[in-house]
Amino acid sequence: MWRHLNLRWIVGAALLLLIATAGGAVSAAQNQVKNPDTLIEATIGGPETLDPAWGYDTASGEVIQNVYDTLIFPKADSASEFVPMLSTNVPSVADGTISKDGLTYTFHIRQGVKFQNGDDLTPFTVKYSFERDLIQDRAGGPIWILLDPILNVGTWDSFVAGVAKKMGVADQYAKDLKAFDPTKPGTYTATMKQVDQKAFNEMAGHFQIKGNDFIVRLAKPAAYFLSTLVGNWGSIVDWTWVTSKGVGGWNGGAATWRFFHNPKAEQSKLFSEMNGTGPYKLASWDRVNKKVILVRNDHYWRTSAAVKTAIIEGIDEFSTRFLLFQKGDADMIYVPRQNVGQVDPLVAELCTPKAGGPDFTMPANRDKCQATGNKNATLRLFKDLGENLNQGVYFQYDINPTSKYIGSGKMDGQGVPPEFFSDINVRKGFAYAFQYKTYIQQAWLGEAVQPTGPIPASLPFNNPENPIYFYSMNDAKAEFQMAWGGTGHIVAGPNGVLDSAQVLTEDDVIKGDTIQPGPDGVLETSALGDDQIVVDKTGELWNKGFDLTLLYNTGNAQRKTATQIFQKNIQNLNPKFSITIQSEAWPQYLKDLIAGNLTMFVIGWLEDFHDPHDWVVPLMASYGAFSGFQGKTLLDYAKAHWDALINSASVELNKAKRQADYNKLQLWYFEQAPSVVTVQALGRHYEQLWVKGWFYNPLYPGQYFYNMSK
Amino acid sequence: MIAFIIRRLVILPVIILGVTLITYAMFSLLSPAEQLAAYVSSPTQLHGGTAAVERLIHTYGLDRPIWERYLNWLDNIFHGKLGWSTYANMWVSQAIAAYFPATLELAIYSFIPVIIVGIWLGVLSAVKQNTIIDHLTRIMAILGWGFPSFVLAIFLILIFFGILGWFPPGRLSTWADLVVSNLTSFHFIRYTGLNTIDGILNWRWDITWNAFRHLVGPVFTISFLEWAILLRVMRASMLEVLRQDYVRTARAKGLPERVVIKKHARRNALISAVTVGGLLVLGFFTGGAITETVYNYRGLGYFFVFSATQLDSAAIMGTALVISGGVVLTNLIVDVLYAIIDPRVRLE
Repeated sequence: MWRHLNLRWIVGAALLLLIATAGGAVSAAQNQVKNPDTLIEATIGGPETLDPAWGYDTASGEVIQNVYDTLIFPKADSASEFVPMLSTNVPSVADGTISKDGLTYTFHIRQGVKFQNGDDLTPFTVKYSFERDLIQDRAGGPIWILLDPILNVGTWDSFVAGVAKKMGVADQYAKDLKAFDPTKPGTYTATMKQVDQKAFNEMAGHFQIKGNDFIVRLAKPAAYFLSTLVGNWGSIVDWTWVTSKGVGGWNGGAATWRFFHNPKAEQSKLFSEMNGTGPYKLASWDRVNKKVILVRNDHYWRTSAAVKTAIIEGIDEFSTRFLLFQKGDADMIYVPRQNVGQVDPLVAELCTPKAGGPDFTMPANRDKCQATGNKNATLRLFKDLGENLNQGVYFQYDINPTSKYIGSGKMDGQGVPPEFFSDINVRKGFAYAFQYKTYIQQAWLGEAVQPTGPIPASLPFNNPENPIYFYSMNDAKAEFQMAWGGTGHIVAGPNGVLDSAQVLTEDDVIKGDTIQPGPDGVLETSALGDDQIVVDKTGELWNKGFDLTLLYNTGNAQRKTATQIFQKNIQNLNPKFSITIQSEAWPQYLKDLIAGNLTMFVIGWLEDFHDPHDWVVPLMASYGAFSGFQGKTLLDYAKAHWDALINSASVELNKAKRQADYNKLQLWYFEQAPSVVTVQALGRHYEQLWVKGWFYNPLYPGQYFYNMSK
Repeated sequence: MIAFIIRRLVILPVIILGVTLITYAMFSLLSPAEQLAAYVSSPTQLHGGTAAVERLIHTYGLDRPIWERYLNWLDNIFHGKLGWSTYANMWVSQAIAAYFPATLELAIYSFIPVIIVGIWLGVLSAVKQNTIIDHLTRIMAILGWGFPSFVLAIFLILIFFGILGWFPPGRLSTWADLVVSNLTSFHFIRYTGLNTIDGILNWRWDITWNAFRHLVGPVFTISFLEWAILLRVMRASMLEVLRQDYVRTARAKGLPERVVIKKHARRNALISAVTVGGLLVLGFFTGGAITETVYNYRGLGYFFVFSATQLDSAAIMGTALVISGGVVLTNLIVDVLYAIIDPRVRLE
């Protein structure tokens, strides 16, 4: 057997050598345009659904964006400005289409627009589209984004339950709902019917049609409402078509919505059917080959798209994608970060953002593209595209006491107590012990920036002056020494100014040129500028040490690197500190995350809509997607200290006041360090030189083929 | 013989039921939160915290007792659906039917050279033992056996597509795909799902030719790896048979060597080859994932592996069901072939 094994390795090694040698010999695409009438994108994966009210993944969003239109759409080179689409206006206070109280939005619906099957666009079908969104609200789906501003609830279920409560039948309704089986109409009780109809009518009251106008009445003056309308959930569907016999969707009635609520992917009637007003029509969705073929809508209400056919194909193996790209059989491909070195030698034109650092949009003009001088190169590369995606390290305040990752479960040097990270000095110790620049260089190949807080630099109301944690072993050491019973104070540095005073936290007090802990004896304020922390007494953590396990999900090299940085630096601080790194498959990782078993988790957030509200909620609110999994202690703290401001900031119409609110939230985030955002990613886009018209907009879930040509 | 076949067919559902029970029991070891991973690819879907988790678990019935879910699944089987595959985005039975033609086409074109070359060279190598032919054959067999399939596949695609441009990945080129998807003026009818055959039946030889070009790479990769196994088994079996007394007797009787080899030795040596051949057939349908991935050739192997990596429980259980059925049926065919080749088996 060993002979065969050896032979296998020898042959394998020889072949890899051959491949490496031959790799350079692969003939690149010719200058002649291949498939001139077809745009081909080779990427990974495929859509989960084609239903705009169900899809929440970018692959689904890409197809939906090309087939459906929304009322308004992001301006080509801006993520914060909108242009009219199926609405002829972008509502504003100035022209009266947003009421002064910020609650009523009026959209003038475009006339003469037809769906791809020939049906007319009407204000009624616009209204129906939004009602369908809300009543469908599937578990784990995107509709909370609309429910929040329109009905001021997180789920449709909670809205209906609230109506039942107002009607005084909450208990009966809950009991009936538990026994309800949509396949058995007999289980749909009279109580449920009454509640459902009342809930529907109440919801429908938020939408109104006046002539050719569609009017939305919000439950709260959500300043971010317009930005929620540009996602695929804002797509306008055709009522006549959806309710036709062939599709069999919800008829828009109050008495029937229950049977179309919270469907699984396959139960949604628009799962594999599309009929929008958009620039492309669905020709086929080949789920076996993960291939979507779109053909131009020749009756589009705007000028028709330049390219007749667009193909999105999921090809999981990078080498195959790359070969197709090299041969000109793909016009653009997804290149994982670890493979950019293979593709870059074929780049003929390098397009970088305007001077001054990463830009978050990339206009179509080629002013900034320059020849690279690479021989036989046929590709164009757009670099440093600011993505609205960040990654952070989230501390678990109340680790599950049965977690196997906390050793003894006590502060005895052999483990950590479950409430280990509820100590602010521990969290700050970790934050200072992280090498942000090294991490960006090693794990992100230098293509990321360190954010200044929960709101990325690309968003309005980001505070570029917000303090951030930086790599400082001295500060990390001081924080760990003060943790779990230690004490200390901050003294002004050589500049004589007490810089840390600007982040004075909790009950800490300024005494002369020092900051002293308050009555709780804990110094919570972070040292800023050249200020120094002076440790008066080391705590139990420093004296006894600890042993804990950090986890990352298998296959994620970036998250692995992040845990390794913590391990190396923190273990160097004190020989009694021990950190073990362990990987877990995604199912186990998810289970441990939900169960509170993870000591901390490294995870990324991609925005749903372009507003700070979509950033402070997941990272700070008690009901946030990430903060919601950081333990009861944090939830209680968030409820008591942050939720109110998060909500009031979201409805503040005065920009200056809103900025002040978000500045405060960003500062609080820094002071408390419930998590630490480590990077905001910068992306790349590769395409053939013959592709024209591509531009970057971080709000697009994928390629928007309408602007492109060959 | 017929009784033997009926006996085996009767056992088939019992075995399959056993497989479903074992597979389901294994899934019951996973907590609802772990099973949720099939539906939650990112925690961003968990907006609302633990309440969102509970809602998802309830929606997908992961909080129901295992026996209830098992009965639902059995009900799905009887309705011919086998559950919903979150990876393939279709019913598992649909997915298997949809992925099958690609694998069948690959298997047909791979199996023929594997059987012919494997058996022929195995016999030749044994008969010409320790000659230059034997040595060369064995070296090639070891090379074939020793090649990691992904290396060979990448190597071939790099040379024959990357450099020469002859044999592209996928099942069809873009233009051909548009034709068979009926996105051109030509009305293409799908008769079998096999592109090479459907091309002929539609009188579109260009499609057939294009499909063949896409098949060369994966067929060669699979064949080159599989024939080596058959050759080695056939050679060893043949060598053993050639040393048997009855072969010596046949030669002593003065029978021509051609007759001794073909009628007396090769026929008996085939028994081992048939056993291996049965496994190879099954391997074509389930084990081509790596080759299919590299060539972007979506067949059953690809589906099995990728659905398993995404914890697509319906697909895993559905495919376990199909594979176990395939194993039983293959064994049945192998046993029948035994009986045809070796009369002693019939007598037993």
